[in-house]
Amino acid sequence: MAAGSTIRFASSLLIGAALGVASAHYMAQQSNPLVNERHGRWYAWPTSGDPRSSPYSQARFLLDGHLPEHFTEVTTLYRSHDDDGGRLSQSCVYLVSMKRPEVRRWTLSLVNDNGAATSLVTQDDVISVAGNVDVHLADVPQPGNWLDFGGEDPGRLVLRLYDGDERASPADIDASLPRVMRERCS
Amino acid sequence: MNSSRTFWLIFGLLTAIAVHLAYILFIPQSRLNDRIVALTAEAGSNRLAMAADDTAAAALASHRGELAYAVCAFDLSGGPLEIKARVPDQYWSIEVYGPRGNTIYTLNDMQAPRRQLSIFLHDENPDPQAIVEAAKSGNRGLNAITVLTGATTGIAVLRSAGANPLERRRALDAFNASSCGPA
Repeated sequence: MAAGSTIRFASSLLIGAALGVASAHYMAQQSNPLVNERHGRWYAWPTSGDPRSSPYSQARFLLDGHLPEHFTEVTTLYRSHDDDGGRLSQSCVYLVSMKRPEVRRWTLSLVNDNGAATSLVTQDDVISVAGNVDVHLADVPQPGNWLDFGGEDPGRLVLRLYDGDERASPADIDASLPRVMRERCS
Repeated sequence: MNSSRTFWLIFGLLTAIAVHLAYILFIPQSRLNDRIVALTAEAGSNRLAMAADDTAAAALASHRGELAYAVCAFDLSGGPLEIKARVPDQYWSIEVYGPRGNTIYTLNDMQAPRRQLSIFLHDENPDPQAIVEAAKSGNRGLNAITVLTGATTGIAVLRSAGANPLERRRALDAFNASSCGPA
């Protein structure tokens, strides 16, 4: 009887601990839809100081060893899929199309699974026509604006909007978010 | 038998909740502390360290492709700290974090009152009279900002645009003209 109770105690403890760690990991995952903020296929994590920030969003940054930037400084948006829902792949060419964001500074980059940028453009680097910006994502050079996959599948496409002293409203963010269309695959 | 099963089920569930909360509240903070300890061991506390490649400071920088970073792990147990900063003509910000990675204070180039400024950090038990006296002294003028941190330790992070060589040069020039040390 005592041995049975000990086994039940140990197994309940182990299963409970495993569930606790697994659920914490899941909640602090980069793409967790329960915590992050969705804008179509783009998502953002509420950062430091944001009233919508939670212990999970704070944990997400700190677990990566990074300090979250204050929400009034920059809005960072991520996506891993094109508009049709396909995962971004180096074997394809994509067209990223957007209205030129009306913020003081913006960057668009491809980052690998370790979070390091493999390719990046800023508002100063791009050619824009009539207020529109088109950027190709591809593994081979493209005419016009081009982000290089660098021979590996990207972890994410990242758009960062530097707002100065005031956070852009969700409507402003949505209006400026790029579409990502797959043009062709090899 | 059924009540015994229910008991162990509830016990397992409560264990899961306790571990979940402990993990979310303490493990991330512990990761941050590890990085701050590494930074302090490498660069010392109350000193500004550039986030060059393969440094402990770089490990705290999340967007190094587009920003240049300098960091200062601070310890106010010996008295207030002064961060002297030069603000370049491009995106720049300073953010002061507490020991849990929470933002205590932030300022960017568009909000900065001057191109050259000093930020004085006082700990959680500042002597109000000492702050008033210090503010009256000749050392602190319009370009001085006093921040009550509410904590004895933490980290200050300077960020500036660094997506191309010109931006990076401006950022490094500004960081080299900045400092972090006892007030």
